[in-house]
Amino acid sequence: MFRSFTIKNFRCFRDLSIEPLERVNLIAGMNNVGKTALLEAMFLHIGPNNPELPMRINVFRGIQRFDAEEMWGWLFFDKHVDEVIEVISQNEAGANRSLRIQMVESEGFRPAPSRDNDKVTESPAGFLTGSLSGSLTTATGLHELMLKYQDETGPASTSRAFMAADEIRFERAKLKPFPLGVFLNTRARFPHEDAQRFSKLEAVGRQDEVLTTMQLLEPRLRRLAVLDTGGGPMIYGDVGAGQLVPLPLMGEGLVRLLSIVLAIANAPRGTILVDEIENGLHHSVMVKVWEAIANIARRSGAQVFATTHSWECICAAHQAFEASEMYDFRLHRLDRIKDDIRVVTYDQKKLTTAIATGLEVR
Amino acid sequence: MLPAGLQLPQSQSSITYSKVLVVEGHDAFQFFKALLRHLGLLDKIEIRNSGGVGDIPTYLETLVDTPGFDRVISLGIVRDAEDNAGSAFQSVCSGLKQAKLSAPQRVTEIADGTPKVSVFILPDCVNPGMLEMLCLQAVNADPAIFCVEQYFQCLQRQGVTLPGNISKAQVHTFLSSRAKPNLLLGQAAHEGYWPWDNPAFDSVKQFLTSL
Repeated sequence: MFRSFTIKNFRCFRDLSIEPLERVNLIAGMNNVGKTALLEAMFLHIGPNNPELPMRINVFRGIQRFDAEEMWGWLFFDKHVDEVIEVISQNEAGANRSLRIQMVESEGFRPAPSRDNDKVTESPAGFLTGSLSGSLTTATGLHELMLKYQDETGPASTSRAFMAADEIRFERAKLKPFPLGVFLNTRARFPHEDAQRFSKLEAVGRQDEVLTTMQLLEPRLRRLAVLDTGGGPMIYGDVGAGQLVPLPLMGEGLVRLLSIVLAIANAPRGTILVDEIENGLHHSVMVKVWEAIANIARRSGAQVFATTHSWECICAAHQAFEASEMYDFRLHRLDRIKDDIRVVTYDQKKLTTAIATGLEVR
Repeated sequence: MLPAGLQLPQSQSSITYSKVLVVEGHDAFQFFKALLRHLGLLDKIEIRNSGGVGDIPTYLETLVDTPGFDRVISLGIVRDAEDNAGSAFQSVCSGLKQAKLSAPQRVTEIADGTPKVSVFILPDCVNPGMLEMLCLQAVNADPAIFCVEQYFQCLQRQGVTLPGNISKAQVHTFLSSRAKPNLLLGQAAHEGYWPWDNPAFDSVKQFLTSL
């Protein structure tokens, strides 16, 4: 579990530190203050040898530009591509991990045994190499994004993404597997991934953990099942209608909560990042939802980071954790002070005070 | 249009004004809101109610982390002396230090810094007591006060145990003599039942105008 993050030269952050982190962390703040960017930095950090992630976080935002300057340049603070992005974490044992991202002139191609799209194979050089093409436009010049990762278990490793001819190519350093990290953004839904995660839980008899939580939103729900009726696997629900109903037809809130719960339950010691967690959830169920998230996160040893704009969501989380076995929760608010962004962290005592006296915390 | 913090004591809002007055409790909140309006300062000083926590240090620590506090240039804190004005002042000062704010050396002084900080201990920065005592001083010449005193003497003569907080009881009794007999201290302030021009209010008015 992470205890702190330091982020330098990434998106809107010149130099930001956030600590102490808890099992569940809620991120608040005004619009355009960097809440989503904070999750993105964490996402890159928990997949430090995945050079696709810098591009993927842009796609999550709806940016589908594939020239190097637009695709990667905006990752850097004020688009200062000559700087180095640093995301450094410390875990509860005090161990440090660092990811340094740099934009450099590309070394160009390295030998790759396979050109199959989206296929990842091992190269003789000890790298895993893949490629992505399709709708990508022709690259102008050669540019490269280097991801240097270092922890206390071994030497530094480098992964990279680079522009070449009509495609973006990736080289991924071989590292021991990391705990699962999941980023649930506000735009995209991934029903196939949800179905996979539900199937994994069902395989070990844990499906009721999810069902119980979903019943907070839909008390009529008796059963969840994965069906593949031709368009790929999808989760269906039994609400006593005589036939199973695709979950997306039961409302955005249900689908959203299902994605969150499945991600947490399937991520032992992993990290779950949720943008705008209150979306689609009625305020009256928020306390119960937080109780469920806390319990599932504790059971799986996962750590949760979620953003919100909602006072009701914050109060509900506070109420749920105050009533739970332990207050393993923190609220962090990002504030823009002149040209810098700082973090204000609320522990139980401060949040109790703020709520009781009507002081703004969002 | 008043900032949200001034409209309702418990509204969740950022700090809007550059001058902030912290008071303790709903009655004090309404009393000072009425007094600021009388002084023409209601659109310059934002009132915040620390009541409900009973813990000034934690309140101040939380207040400084509230959005907008970085723009505050002047902070005033008002609290009751209760049994001892000196102890109450020291308690506020230790809270200020804990919140990394400058603390005045003496109760009548303004501590320089950003923001500058001043403290007022009710009723008069010297004697034990509370806001109710200040209000009672201000209406001391009102004919109804004679009756209020007689009422409590009568209760004593009848062997009725007097309330623990006699000032609060006297304020209630006094206010029951007004045209609207059921108002609380703060509501009475808005109704004009406290004579703002009475010298008893001079020092607190000076405190507010110097914020």
